[in-house]
Order: sequence, then C-alpha cells, then structure tokens
Amino acid sequence: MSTVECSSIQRLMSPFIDSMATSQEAERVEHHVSICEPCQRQLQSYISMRGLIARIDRPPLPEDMVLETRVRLSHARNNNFLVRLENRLNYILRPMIMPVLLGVSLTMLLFGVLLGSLASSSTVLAQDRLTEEPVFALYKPVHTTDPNWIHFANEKHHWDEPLTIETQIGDEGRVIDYQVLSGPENPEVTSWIRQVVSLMKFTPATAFGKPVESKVILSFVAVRN
Amino acid sequence: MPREIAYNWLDRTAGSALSAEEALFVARLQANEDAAYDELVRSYSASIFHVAYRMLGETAEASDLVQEIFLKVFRNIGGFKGEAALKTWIFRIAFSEILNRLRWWKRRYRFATVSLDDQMNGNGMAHADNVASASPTPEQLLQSKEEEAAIQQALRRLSSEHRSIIVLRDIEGFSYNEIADVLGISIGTVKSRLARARADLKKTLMRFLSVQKV
Repeated sequence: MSTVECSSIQRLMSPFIDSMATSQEAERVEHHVSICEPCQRQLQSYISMRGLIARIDRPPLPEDMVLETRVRLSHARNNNFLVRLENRLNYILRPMIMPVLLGVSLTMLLFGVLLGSLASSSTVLAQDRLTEEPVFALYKPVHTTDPNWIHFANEKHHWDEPLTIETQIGDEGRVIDYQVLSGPENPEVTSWIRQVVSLMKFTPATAFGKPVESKVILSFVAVRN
Repeated sequence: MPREIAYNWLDRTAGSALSAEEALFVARLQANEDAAYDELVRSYSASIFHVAYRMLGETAEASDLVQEIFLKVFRNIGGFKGEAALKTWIFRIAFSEILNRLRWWKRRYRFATVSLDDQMNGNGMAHADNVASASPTPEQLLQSKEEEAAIQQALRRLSSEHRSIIVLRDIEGFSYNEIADVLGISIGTVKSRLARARADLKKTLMRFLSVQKV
C-alpha cells in the first residue's frame, strides 16, 4: 500500500469517526482499511481514544461555586442604575398599594352615595305604594301621587279573572297608548279600560332631569266581599 | 416579566437561531428577572466549569473564571440579538475568557516551568481522587485515575487551540457547527484542526489505547 494513500486516508479518519466525512470519503476510508492493516490499527486507535476521553468523569463542582456565582451576579445586577431604581421604587410603592386601593374604593363608594342622594327617585306600583328607593338614580321612573283614578277603577270592575294592561306614558304624564296583556275581552271591559286610561295622570319619568316617555304595567284583581 | 416585552423580542428575533422558548428565556434575562438568572446559573455552571477545568487544569482558577464568565454574560446579554444559539453565545464568551486567562498565564509564567504534577495530589493523580464511580473495583479505580491523569496531562501539552477543540468536541460533545460558532472559525478549519489535535493527542495517549492486532 502506498504511503501517500495511507497519509491521505489518515487525514480523513478524524471526520470519519465523527460521521462528518462525505460519502465518497467514507467509502475510501472503509475500502482502504479493509486492505491496509496499519491504517486499520490507526482507525481503531482513533476510535479507542475518543472512547477513552468520553469516559473521563466530570470534576465535582467546587463547594459554594454556584452560590458565589449567584451572589456576585446579584451584586452586579443591583449595581445597575435602572435595576437599583426599580428596586427602590418597589420598596417604596409596595407598602402603599393596600392603603391606596382602600382609599380609592372608599372614595368611589362615598361619591356614589352622594350622587344617589342628589338624584333619588321612587317607583310606583298600581297599588300606589312607594317602594324602592334607588341609590344611584340619574333616571327617575314614572310615578303617581294622585290615586283618584285607582279609586274609580275599584268601584267599577265586575269581571272574574285578573286584568293586566301595559300603558305607555308620554312626557306630559298622560297615557298615550295601551295594550291588554291578559284578562277578559268584551266591549264592557274595553269601555271601562278607556275610561280609566283617560283619567290616569302620572308624574312622567325623567332622565338627567328631563321628562321622557316610559311604560307602566297595571294589574287589576277583583276582590269580592 | 412584562409579556409584551417578550413578544416584541420574539418578533425581533424572527428568523434567528433561537427557538421560541429560548427567545423567551433571553427576554427574561434582558428584563433582569431573578428567576431567569438562577436558571441560567443552574443550567450552565457545571458545563462551563468542566470546560474551564479541562482547559486550565486547576479547580480554583476554573471556579473563579466561571464567575467572571457569568458576569460577562450579564453585562453583554442586552446586546445579544439571537444571531447564534444561547449556548453557543455563552461558550463563545467562556472561551474568550479562558483563552485570555491562558495568555495571561503564559506572559506571567514565561520563565517558570509549570508542572502538572504540582497540581496533583502528591501521588500523581488529579482531582480524580474525589471522583467516585458507580461501583468500581480497586483495579478499575486505579486505572480510571491513571487514565484521567494521563488525559489531563496530554491536554496540557496541546496548544490552547488544539486543547479547545478537543474539549469542545470529545469532552463536551459539541457539533462541528457549534464549534465553528464558538471559536469563530469555518467548518473546514474545525475539521483540519481537530484532525491535527487528535493526531497529537494520540501520540501521548498511545499506551492507553486498545488496538487489536488483525
């Protein structure tokens, strides 16, 4: 075997054992070592050396090396102006978070109560009883303080099932439309409804102090003595 | 860490050498997050120390250098744009520091003979005394110590260029591409330098190599 060829093959042995030789180079090496005993021994020694080096143990880490590294890193990081500023702000602001949140919540609550008392309102039912008093009321619902038409309604009804009507109240407090939702349907009841509706007088609903249209549902139930 | 910073960073590193997970980790480092630095030290300290130890041959020096390397990583992480994998970038810094330290030693101890035996524990063995295998026999233990001492001595005799490439490839198992990135050389140079380094090393370690006669 020529020495020139052997030298050429031996230069390829290092990439060959790392599978980094090209396919042609790998074929050349494989073919050559199959016929050249000295080069075969060379290849074996390369493989053996790689195994020997790979087998050596990792040195144990010096005690406290990791801890000391962290401490030095921490010092270096805290020497950075921006980080120092951020840490300072954290120290100052963190204790203030709870008081500030409480203060803001209380202020909002007080403001809400104050606003509610300035713009309170009432809700009217067919029975003319004042019930709910909304706290936060920039909108006042329709209501009535004149129950004369209710007394009229009490004297006249003669039907057996309850009557429910939905009325639309205009911004002047008068009924501008109505619709029977349930109850008896006959000319007598229709005539009665028209009479009652024409008598109805409400204080119109207001939104931000301005009268607006609204709807009221009225329910009439017969109570026999 | 603010999430939007991480996303901005991910946008900037589109097409870079980093995976999304790695990019997020780098963004956390750049945002100076405590937990990210803890993770960095936990992940890389052992392999950097190992490389430094094999290059310098001294535990105390290697340990000190590991700390310097992490400080340098911290100082430079802001400029890291993801042009290489984080591991490659860190080892580039590590090798730059290690080779600087070796050059400094060379200047300082130009006229002094540095004997590897000085760093051994009296009986010609390096730190391997501290290394316990799973359950080796006394003969195996002795052989293992001898081999390790011989390898460390053989590494010491190599030039720093050859030692670097052997440590990266045969001890740390870096790919040729990674070695090229870490040392700033071409793949072709990696191949030829590694071949020469192995040939040199083989001469020194020949008596430990098992070569069967065909």
